[in-house]
Amino acid sequence: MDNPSMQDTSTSVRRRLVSAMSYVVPPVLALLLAGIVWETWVRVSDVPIYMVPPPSEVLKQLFWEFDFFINEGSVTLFEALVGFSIGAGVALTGAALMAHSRFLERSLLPLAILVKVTPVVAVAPLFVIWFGFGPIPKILITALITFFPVLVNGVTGFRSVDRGSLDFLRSLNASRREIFLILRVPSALPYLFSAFRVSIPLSVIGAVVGEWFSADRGLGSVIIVAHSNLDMVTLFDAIFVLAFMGVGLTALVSVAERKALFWHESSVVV
Amino acid sequence: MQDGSHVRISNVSKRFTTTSETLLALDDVTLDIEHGEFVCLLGPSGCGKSTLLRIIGGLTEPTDGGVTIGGQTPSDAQAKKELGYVFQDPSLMPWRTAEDNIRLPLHVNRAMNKDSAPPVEELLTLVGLERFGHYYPSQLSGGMQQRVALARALAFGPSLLLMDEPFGALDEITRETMRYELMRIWNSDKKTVVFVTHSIAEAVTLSDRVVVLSGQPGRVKGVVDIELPRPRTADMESNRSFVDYANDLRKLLMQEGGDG
Ligand SMILES: Nc1ncnc2c1ncn2[C@@H]1O[C@H](COP(=O)(O)OP(=O)(O)O)[C@@H](O)[C@H]1O
Ligand SMILES: [Mg+2]
Repeated sequence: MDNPSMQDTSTSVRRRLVSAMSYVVPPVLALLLAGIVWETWVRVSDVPIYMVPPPSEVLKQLFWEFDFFINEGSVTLFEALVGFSIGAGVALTGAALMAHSRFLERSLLPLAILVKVTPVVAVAPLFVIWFGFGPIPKILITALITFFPVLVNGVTGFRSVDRGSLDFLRSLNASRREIFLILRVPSALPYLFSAFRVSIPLSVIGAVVGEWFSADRGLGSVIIVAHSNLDMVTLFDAIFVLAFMGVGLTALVSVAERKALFWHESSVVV
Repeated sequence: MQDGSHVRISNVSKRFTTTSETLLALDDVTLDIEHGEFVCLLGPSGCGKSTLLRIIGGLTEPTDGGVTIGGQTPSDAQAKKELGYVFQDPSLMPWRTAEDNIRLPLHVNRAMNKDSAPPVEELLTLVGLERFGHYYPSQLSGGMQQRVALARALAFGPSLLLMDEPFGALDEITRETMRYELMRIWNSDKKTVVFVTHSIAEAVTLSDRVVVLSGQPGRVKGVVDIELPRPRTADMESNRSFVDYANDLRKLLMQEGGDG
């Protein structure tokens, strides 16, 4: 921090680049290899294209129809992110209340568990009937599916505070609000980030499932349409884009986690 | 300063009730502590030292009896930021630098911040960490972390310092250093200190008065005034009178039963 020389900075940049490459290169190579094997297999064994398309066709279509996939993808991404924000927001509020009151926990947690064990696929049609064909039912389904991990980890996290720090704040007559902001929120962050890492991929699932039941927009509906047309190339493209979305979102959470939890044991790389 | 004692402990008893049994942790403890006095609570593990300190600090309610601090209840003293607490574990917040940990008490219960509160730089210098303000707790040794905890307890200018085996988790060498550091710091502005320990040497070195507690139920077994000159130094530990005090305390600790 004090005054690192220019050389130190540039070597550390280089070192970080090298370490980033060591994370990126192996999976990319593996993916490439899988693609080549797949392509060869399809070509050699003459699998019909309406069963399994060769990756070259899938990529070609993705390239030519890029705008289409970006547009449909952003519809799904929007639903996933808004749904996640609502689900996580409600869950955090609930967790903060439950962490302060065993009574609230005892009355609300069974309800939350009930919601959790109900298969989303079963309630999705209901949401369509109630909320129509716009983005709202998809957002609500996403909120529902992302809510529970955040709630449970939030309650545990807000409670998992260091006993001595809590006593110290109490000895200063700190208010509940002060204790919550100064101690409980930072202590909960490791738990919350584990929850986000579960919930973020779930949010994409929620949005897609919602679109299956009622949509003319989004990758979920692209999948349904492609399926009924036996258009395997488009179907695979939609899956690729969704997978990419999941990877990207998870990577974003990881980066945010590393920044926010620099002080936590889990962030020490051994 | 008011007349009379700073801390008054009157007939304090504490009973813990668990599902299976009740345990009398403190039995009728009475003790007065003067302004500026350094008092050690000495006793074996589990004799109720921490419980007594927590009752003084208002973190635990006594079952019977009561405590006043400068004539007010412990919770009023808390509200006025009169209590500086140091625990066996430093209990620093790992996401805050040393400096920010020391500053933390000033962000809490702000209405009661005093003008007399010393600046953070001064506190860091006082505990010998002037170069380490920007370090995170995980980058500091155990002894250094405990120094930060001490600075944090002094940050808002409390009149009473409550210390619960603050050096208990440190190695023997660091422990001795910290003992004399604490003496140096205490000499600079003679706060009232209640210091819990199970080390006889620590009690003799630090105290004006040692209160010996017996275990199960915790009772005051005896009180020994330590009349060694101040400032106290490491050489004293081999003095005749230091050794005598240590032996007295040891005898008192070993002695069977309550009020000898
Ligand atoms: N919150 C509590 N609930 C039940 N028992 C307790 C609690 N706190 C302390 N005790 C019991 O009270 C006794 C005194 O404990 P403590 O004050 O921590 O002793 P010391 O600090 O002298 O080692 C012990 O037997 C301990 O088990
Ligand atoms: Mg103890």
